[in-house]
Amino acid sequence: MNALDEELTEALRGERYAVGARMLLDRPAIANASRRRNRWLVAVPVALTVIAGFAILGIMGGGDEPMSVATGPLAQSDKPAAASAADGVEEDVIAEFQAATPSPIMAAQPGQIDAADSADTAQLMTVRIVPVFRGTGLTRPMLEDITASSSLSSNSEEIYYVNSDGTVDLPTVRDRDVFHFVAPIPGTPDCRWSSNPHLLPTASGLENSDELTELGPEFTPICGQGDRLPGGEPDRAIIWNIVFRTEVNDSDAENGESSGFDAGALSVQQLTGYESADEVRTITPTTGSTWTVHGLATTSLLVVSGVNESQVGPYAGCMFEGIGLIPAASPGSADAEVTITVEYQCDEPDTDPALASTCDSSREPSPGFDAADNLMDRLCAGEFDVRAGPAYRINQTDALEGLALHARPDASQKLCCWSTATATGRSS
Amino acid sequence: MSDFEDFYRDEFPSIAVIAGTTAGSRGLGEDLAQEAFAQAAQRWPEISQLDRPGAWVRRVAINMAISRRRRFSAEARALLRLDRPQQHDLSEHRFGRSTLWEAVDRLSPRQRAVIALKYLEERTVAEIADILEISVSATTSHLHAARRSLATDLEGTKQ
Repeated sequence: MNALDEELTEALRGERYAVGARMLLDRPAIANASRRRNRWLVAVPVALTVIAGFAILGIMGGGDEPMSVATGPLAQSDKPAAASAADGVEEDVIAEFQAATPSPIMAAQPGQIDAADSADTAQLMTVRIVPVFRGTGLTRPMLEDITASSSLSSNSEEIYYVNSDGTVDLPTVRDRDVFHFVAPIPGTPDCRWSSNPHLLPTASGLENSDELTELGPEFTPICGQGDRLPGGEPDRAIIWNIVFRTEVNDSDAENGESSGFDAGALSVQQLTGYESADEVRTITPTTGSTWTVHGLATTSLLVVSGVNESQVGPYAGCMFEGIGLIPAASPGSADAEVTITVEYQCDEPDTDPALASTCDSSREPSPGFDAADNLMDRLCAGEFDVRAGPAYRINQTDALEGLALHARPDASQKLCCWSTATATGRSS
Repeated sequence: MSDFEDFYRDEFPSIAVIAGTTAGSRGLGEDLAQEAFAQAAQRWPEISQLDRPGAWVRRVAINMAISRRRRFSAEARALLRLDRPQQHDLSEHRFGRSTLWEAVDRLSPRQRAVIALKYLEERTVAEIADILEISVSATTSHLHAARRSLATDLEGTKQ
């Protein structure tokens, strides 16, 4: 776990601790939310709150200081004593709360021996990764895409991330630990860059050493259970035709909406792995696109990337990257058909492409927003069939200027958005 | 209903933080978690039969957080057009460095949800994918993109 991981963990757990404390100490926030929608639900933690609230007030001695997560009464080491000293306290209630809201963790520093120093205790050692990639023409991952896992780790989920400067803190378990590095190949869930195993120097051997140990893992693209795909080495040119088709891996689309491609909207700006690299072509998703390429004698991976040039749709303007498995070509090979699964890399975090694509941003809702907002909730809940043109009565003091709702219902009815269409509202 | 009460008491803090991280506000996260639990309560006989009711409530809370943020964006644009300031004050003191939360808030809502599930609850990529109903590869992609973005944003802000 590096510093970023530790800081995130500490901050989030601190937040959980704070929320848990509010459950006991600060009723209004939860009560207000309940009162708005589900008054009865607030009764759920009331008994716990009342009991523990008295306890906490006793602990705090009536002070007005805001409770700090780090220094609040429940974070003190004398919690049991304090709890037992308060009238009417049920210690098991406090203990239960403590168990549910653990204190923020302490961050281990590189090179620091874990406090739970046991025979298998890991000592963090910082090494620098200088990767070597075998094969040509494949998208090489950023350094921080590379992760390491230990062959001796009892927890197979333990993953160590490489920082952007190539350093990574790895725990050395005695002198037997072997690390294996991998990195994703975008768009290919079954393929990855995979390194040869690396044996780290013993932790004791590095003590008092300020020099970073460099490791040079050699990466090879691997698919499935480990079949190696050479992925490069242009052979004698075997010219043949490949029909490329595309499909989108949009499983990460917001709210499960599906988009697909707009025909003719994809310009492939980079074609690597072949002599015809960097050729800009357009793939028509529905019919495919036939390219004449200099084939390879071995099965290889083809990476394409580009931009969805469409002006509409959830992925308008988004970068995409795709990869396909290209079969080996040989003299006399029949034309092949390759489907490239592409995945969008939309990295504009606060832009909602779904909203932008279905709502005309130049026509914002006019005054009456809040009233219509409530309607949108009901619309999204499936209460109205907008196509039937129901009449809405809007409690709204401001004049409405042709305010209406436009819904883009999908299967789950999760996605609705604004539009100022032609329907009219009236003020009351 | 007692099993629901236990469920609520055990799960509320975590789900509130996950929703709050996704929505960008701890207080809003509590409201959203409350709403998600309300939905669960209304359908508790059905929800309680799921393998992991907690995953269901997390999914509902995260979806609501994403929808709420989308609505805030539209509202903010409308208010700006009307020359009225945004009424939603999302600023609040949160645990840890403010620069960390500012960087987290710049992530996409989905990335924030992944970060919260990963680092608050130490969930595996497969578990996160299951909760968010997205593929494992998409989850991995979100996680990598989020970490890269955070590392870039936080570079040089260490005190």
